[in-house]
Amino acid sequence: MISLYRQKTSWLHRLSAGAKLLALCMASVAIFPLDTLSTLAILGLLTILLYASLSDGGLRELKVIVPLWPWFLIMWLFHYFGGDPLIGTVAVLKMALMILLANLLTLSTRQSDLLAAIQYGLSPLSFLGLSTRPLALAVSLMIRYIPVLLALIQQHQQAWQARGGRRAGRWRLIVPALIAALQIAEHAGESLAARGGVRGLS
Amino acid sequence: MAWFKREKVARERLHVVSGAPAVELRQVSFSRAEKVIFDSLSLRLDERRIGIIGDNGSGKSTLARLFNGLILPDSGYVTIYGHESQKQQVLLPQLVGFLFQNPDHQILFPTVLEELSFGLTQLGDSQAVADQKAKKCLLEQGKSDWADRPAQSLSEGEKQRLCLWSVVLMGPKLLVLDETFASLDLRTRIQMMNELKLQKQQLIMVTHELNLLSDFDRVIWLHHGQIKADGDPLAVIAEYRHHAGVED
Repeated sequence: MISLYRQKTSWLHRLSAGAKLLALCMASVAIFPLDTLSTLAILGLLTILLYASLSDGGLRELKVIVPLWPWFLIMWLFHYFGGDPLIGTVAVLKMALMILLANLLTLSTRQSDLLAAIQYGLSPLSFLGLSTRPLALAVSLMIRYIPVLLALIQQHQQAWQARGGRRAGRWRLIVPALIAALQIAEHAGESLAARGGVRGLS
Repeated sequence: MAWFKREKVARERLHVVSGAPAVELRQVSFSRAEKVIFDSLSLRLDERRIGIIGDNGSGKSTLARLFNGLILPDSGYVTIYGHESQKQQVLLPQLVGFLFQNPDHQILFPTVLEELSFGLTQLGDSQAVADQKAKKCLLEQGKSDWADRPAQSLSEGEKQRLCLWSVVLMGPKLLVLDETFASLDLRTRIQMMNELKLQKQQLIMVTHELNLLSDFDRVIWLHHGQIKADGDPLAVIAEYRHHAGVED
């Protein structure tokens, strides 16, 4: 299956998962209150520079944002009809920025490192008698399966088009795609259970 | 949300109960969606290599899933090396390694090393120890360069290998294969079979590839949830071929 992880190494790969996760959290908090286009534009440029610094092909990873345009459009239209297109633009830019930054984390961090970092971050919870491994595993698998689900939607669209389906009728794919997603989840669940499930064997 | 609760009890290691066969089914019944799949099926499996054949829908995959506790019987007992699957369902993967038909359904992690080490952390190893063991496994196979490769970049046959190694690393006594090599080309299938022969585990293999089973110790033909023939591979396979309309 596909994953967001990018094999080529870069300076970003060498940073610890915890540091990157923390940086991402801080960036989210910092970006949240911003409301001027110019600041966001500068941050956007900086993000693009970060991608460019990942060695050859880094910029190509920016394409992760492309399939999301309908959501951005809906978001923007929502604000447009609400009477404030500027806020809409700011919201879309912030969202895009956050996704691109989060993508930097996933493409440069091995999932098990991320899992360990999340588990460490959650460790205060264990004082409350909660086990952090299942939660960390759940987060980790969720990240792992996002690209799988995107590929699934694409397959359904292709099957639809191959049989002459029109673009406008694509909403009909929602239910079959959902069922296929549930099947994927079932397979993953079986595979996990066959190796000891979320609680582990020790 | 029960799985969030921290387990206070240390889980024990399952050991083979001496003298117990790998698998024993006693009057197992199982239905799904009101369709009876097994009705009072009894079976004792202890040969080193056993093949299970039969038409689609005969219950082969369900049977395979009874062996590792993925499915529990509605009534009757399934015992694995002396441990009842209903009581030790969660721990059975210590004893039984399961290989699915489609490696994409089995691989849970993005990179090879993570997939290999996951089973070991499940058994209680720390991530560092698990990574070390996984790297050693790759080294022994001459595939050290695979460690950081995305599992997706592997070929179909390489993915199957990864699945096999991930499971074998956990040290099971029994390997259950559910039509595992169905999607492989002939050459890769033969390579995988040769690799399987090197493993020391007992083996139960569900397959449509009858010729893979000719040198097995025992073959069982499952038909509508019942045993239609059982015993010498060549005899059982010949009988099954005849049923399928293949003239020898």
